[in-house]
Amino acid sequence: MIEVKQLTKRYGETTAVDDLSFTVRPGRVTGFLGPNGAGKTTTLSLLVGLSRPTRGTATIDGVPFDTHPRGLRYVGALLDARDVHGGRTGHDHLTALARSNGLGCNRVRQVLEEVGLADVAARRVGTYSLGMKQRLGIAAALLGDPPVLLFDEPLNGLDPEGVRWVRGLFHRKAHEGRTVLVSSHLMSEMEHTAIDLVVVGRGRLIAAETLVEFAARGRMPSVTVRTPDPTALSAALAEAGAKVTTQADGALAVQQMSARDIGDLALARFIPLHELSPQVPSLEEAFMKMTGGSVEYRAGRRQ
Amino acid sequence: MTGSTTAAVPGSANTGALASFRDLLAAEWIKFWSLRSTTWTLVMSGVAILAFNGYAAYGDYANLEGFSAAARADFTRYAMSDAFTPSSFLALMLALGALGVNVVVGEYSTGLIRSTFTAVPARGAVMAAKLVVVTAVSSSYGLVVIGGSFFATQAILDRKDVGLSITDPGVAERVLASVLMAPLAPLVAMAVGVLLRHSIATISVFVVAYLLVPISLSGQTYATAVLGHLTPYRAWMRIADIEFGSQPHPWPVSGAWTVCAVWAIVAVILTVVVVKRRDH
Repeated sequence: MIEVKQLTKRYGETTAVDDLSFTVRPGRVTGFLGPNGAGKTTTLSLLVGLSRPTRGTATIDGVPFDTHPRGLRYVGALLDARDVHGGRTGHDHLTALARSNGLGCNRVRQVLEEVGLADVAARRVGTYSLGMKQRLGIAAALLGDPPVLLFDEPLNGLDPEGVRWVRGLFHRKAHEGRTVLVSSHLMSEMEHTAIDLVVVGRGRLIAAETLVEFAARGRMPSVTVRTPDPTALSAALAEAGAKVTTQADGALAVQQMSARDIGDLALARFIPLHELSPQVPSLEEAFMKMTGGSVEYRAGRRQ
Repeated sequence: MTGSTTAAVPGSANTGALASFRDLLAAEWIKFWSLRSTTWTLVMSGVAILAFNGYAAYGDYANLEGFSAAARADFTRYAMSDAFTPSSFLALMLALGALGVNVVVGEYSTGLIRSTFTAVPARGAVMAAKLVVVTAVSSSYGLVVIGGSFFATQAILDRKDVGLSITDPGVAERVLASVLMAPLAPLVAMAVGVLLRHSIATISVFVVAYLLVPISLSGQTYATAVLGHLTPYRAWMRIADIEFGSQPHPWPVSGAWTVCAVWAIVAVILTVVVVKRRDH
């Protein structure tokens, strides 16, 4: 369980995190979403005690993380896959981390197997691809078998197979009862990953709810309808209380009425239908709509 | 379920501060030796130091007849200087200083420090473990290379009966000062590294403070002499008693030892304390 309360972090004039409060529950994957510069990485740094809040608290299972002299058994964190020394082998890097927390070489072997790096463990990290470094960072986070896992942009650099693997891993860890927080700036990455979402923009909380709820904010659900007799159908639908707009290609976009009711109504009036398709609100759309006002660096605008 | 996982793991933080500090030492030991540059730096500089000193000793041995009768009668200072020449002091400082810088700045420049401090939130303990590992390695190196250099150079000089024995009065203390220059250099370098966190800046500041300033300060005026006395380089020369030429502003050996001790203590405190107060 992660609890962030009125968390604020200022660097001089810049406010990176602004009065942020949210809770991350165990047993499910939570997405931590926001455009670049929204304060996600700063929040994660504050959570693991790498920086100190200007105001507010960030606790993990009830206590600030840095009250633990050794951390790997409490929280596994992958903040940046490049936070390794390229001159060491993957095996040496993990062994040093494991030893610092009193964990044995067995654990190192296990996590190397789990992330699929066993074959390259004797190679220097400098020769790894970004995807391999992500796997190494994930291995480090898993070393202490911790109840809380934090991942900052873990999908960067992974190939499609790697993405599928890492999603499976997150689900497995959450299913075991762990708290799993995964940050991303891409809504699409969250779509098959997270159950809950914490959405931030410019350091402030935009939404903390389930992914399904968040997606529904994108726009009103609507149904696209095609018929050879749009005039009659529009009139009938309006009469029944639906909101109808005619689209450029002649199709009708119907809101405030379900596809089933539209179909029933058309049958009752003997109006033929050529298409009846409910439009699922897209997450990307919801995300853009919600964070649109908070993007730090918008493309095509002079700074 | 996960709460009990955490509690059930044996050997967690409560098993004793000493045991868990030993774990940190083991971790830093692995990190230290798992970089290829470590072994190379130690071996190459060790060979260079032995070669510099052996060459100097051989020079004095070959030219002994060219020394004045007075110099030959009191050859101790020359023999000590051959045992650990100023140029080998430079090699030692650069090599072990670089190792000290590597241990600290290597973590900052790569970002590894964030992985390290996330795994071990007790940052002061991490730095203390680094200090212990670096001090142990560099002290052993000092004993082997500088101690070995003393015996090798004196064996060369002894072929003309001017070599010193470690049991001669005062010699052990003077050799010890040279040996201790080995751990002092990386300790100071680590402190500078923690403050600056940037390789080139750290090495520049370290070399300037540790060698260029003391070399350039004249011993002839009172102010520059006193400033010079505050540096490890001059303190080492004072204890080893290899200051040639007139010294109008003499100072006691105990003062020189104090200067070295203060540098070491301040370096250790800075290294441990600075990391605690900073955002990473």
